[in-house]
Amino acid sequence: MALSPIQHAAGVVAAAPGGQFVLLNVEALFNWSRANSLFPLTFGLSCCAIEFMAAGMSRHDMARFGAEVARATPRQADLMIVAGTVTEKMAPVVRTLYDQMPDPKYVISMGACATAGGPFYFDNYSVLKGVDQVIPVDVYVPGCPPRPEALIYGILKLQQKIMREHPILGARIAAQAAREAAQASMEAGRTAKEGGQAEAAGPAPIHAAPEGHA
Amino acid sequence: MERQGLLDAVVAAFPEAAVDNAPQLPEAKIPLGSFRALMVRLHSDPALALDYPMCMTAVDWPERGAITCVYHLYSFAHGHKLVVKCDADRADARMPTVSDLWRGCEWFEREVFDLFGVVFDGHPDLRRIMLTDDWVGFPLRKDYRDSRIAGKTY
Repeated sequence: MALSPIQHAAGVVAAAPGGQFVLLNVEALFNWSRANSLFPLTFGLSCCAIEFMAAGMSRHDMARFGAEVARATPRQADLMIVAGTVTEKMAPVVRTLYDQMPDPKYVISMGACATAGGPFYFDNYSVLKGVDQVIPVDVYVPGCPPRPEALIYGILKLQQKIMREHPILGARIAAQAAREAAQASMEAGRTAKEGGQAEAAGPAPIHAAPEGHA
Repeated sequence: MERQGLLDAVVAAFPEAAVDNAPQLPEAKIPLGSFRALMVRLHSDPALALDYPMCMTAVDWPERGAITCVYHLYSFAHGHKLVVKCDADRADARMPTVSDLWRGCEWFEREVFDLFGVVFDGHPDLRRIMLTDDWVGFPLRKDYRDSRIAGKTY
């Protein structure tokens, strides 16, 4: 598996004495800066967009949480707040916009429609039953439409989630977990075959999954 | 023109029309055979001058085997409104177009075709307008079912 330059550098640092400690602090800095400057994509599909706008205005002031700069292009955004009803015709557009956003990227599904189809769930031919059928969702905000307070709570939840990420050490942690799992299954296999003929081949090697964003 | 006067003018020209001075808007039900002639008259008669199609829609009646096309017409010159209703056969839903009289009906008729499957004879460009081009069926017909529709239906 090819390592990205930052992963390679992380490997060099981690090998040095106290390197893991340094990397954990660098990660905390990454997470802190990411969580507190989310750039939402301007994204209103129906009435939830009004509450989204209200959340950005002076009374609720989403700027307090660093998420006030709504960008008009997905290339400058890292948070998609799906505010409203996603129709079958809109679904491919939503997917395209999500794909155009640079990593790391996050999605908040705002309101009942984006979460599960909402009032359009029954007896309807044109509305997608939840935006999570086309893109991965990090935080669901219930409501019809949710109040700005609810959206801000969702953003705070997303910030907590981002703070728990391992943007640098994630691949190493996953690889180590995979190694430990492989070792554990090998031990278990050896215990089960005790007294039987020796099995030359061990369990199939487990490749660490490349790190996706959490 | 007053509501009743408008309906009287319709009946005078087309005795087969069934008129009703309904609480919301005056309405005239016309058989399919006279529909086109009535619409030409409503559009071109200076005393009626219904020059603006406010709205057009349709109603599905499976038990009657009919699809009723509903036209809401307005006159900028006189300020009066009239609703025209006409039944098409549900099994072979065909209507004469009025898109040559009112350009606005061009898209209305495409919409009714899209959702109810009524074919408008003489329409210049009759294809789906809101659903995807490869859609199968007509969703606002009451017997429409597909895999997107979840759970109970009403």
